[in-house]
Amino acid sequence: MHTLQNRLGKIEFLIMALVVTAVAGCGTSQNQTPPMAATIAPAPEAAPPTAQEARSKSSAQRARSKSSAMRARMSPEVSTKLNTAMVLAQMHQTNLMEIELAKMAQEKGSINGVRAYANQLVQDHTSLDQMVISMAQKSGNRAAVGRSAHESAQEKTLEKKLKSANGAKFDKLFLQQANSDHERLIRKLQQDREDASDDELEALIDKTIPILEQHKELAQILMNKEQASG
Amino acid sequence: MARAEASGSARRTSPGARFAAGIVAGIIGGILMIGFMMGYAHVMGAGLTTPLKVLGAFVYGVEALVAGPDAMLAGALIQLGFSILLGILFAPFISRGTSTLAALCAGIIVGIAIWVAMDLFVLPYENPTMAARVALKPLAYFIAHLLYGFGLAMTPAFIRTFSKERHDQEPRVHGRASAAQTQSN
Repeated sequence: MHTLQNRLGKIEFLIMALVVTAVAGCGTSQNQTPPMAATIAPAPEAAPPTAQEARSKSSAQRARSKSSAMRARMSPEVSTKLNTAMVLAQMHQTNLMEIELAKMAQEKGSINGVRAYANQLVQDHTSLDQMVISMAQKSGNRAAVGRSAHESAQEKTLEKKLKSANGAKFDKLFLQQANSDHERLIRKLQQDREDASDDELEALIDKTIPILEQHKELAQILMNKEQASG
Repeated sequence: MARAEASGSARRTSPGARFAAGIVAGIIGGILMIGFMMGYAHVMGAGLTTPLKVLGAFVYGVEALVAGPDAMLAGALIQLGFSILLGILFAPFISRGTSTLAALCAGIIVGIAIWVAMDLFVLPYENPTMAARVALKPLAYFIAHLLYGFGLAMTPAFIRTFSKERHDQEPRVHGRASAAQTQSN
């Protein structure tokens, strides 16, 4: 009886995982806003939202409400596990994207500060990713961190932009991007922290946010230095 | 008579020997600690020099992470300075007769006390850059403090070494003094 219940639980979890992945996948392909690897979009600070942004926002909201409605129908245990898997997958993707961008900056950065910053990003995101992977393995969400980095169209455009830029222009573009990426990431993780019901995931997010805040602060310091030097 | 005085002074632990032993044990503990942290950071892909940089953040703030050799030098000096200071403060509680086991227990207790104080009271307020990174590797940071405790546990051995050196020198000093006295007579 117990084994049957276990098996049913596993099947339920698998079905829900497929459904939520499909919903999340639709969301990203329609909106062009990948989960947390939205790292690479420009900062929407002061600019008013355009029609396309508004559309993508509303479809993202729809996707989120769909997935939360799904989760509401699941048992709390399965829902928690699924949520944890999704957040871990997003964190893993983000780390991979950040490492990739930082590696480019290690080669193309024109000043020592930018190269040192890129080194630090690679080291920190590597450490953070190891923690994500180890947590995924411990909690039986190995599949969540099994995939390699995949880029959205927006990310590809940005990568092209960065590849074509050189010298001070590259530094400026990279630092602006790092600043806005980290700002967005921090907000996303704070949201995930509020929604999370897994203690381990909460602890992981609590450890990650201060590091990301330091990355953001460093990007701002380096941008100010660049501006001051002309 | 002179020989009896000499052996009596050697049995007592001189403040100079304690001071020197505290310095050397502190340096050894500090090097063990930072060496372990650097090795661990390197193996884990966090960068060999990151522990020095985050220590440098006591002076440079978060900018230490990109400040280069200056921040690393500051970090090394802070590590060595505090290690020596705590070694000197530890030495007065130890004598040349302290057993290895007692010294080891005392060293480990001091190491754990420093770890607790740093983790709870110092880092979150004085160096959030380091606090954030320590949170990623809490076990390694704890082990590093135990290693510092092992370093401190060498204090009695160094006290004995330095007292012995003094003891070896004393008869010669006495000999010279008596020769000088004979000449003056």
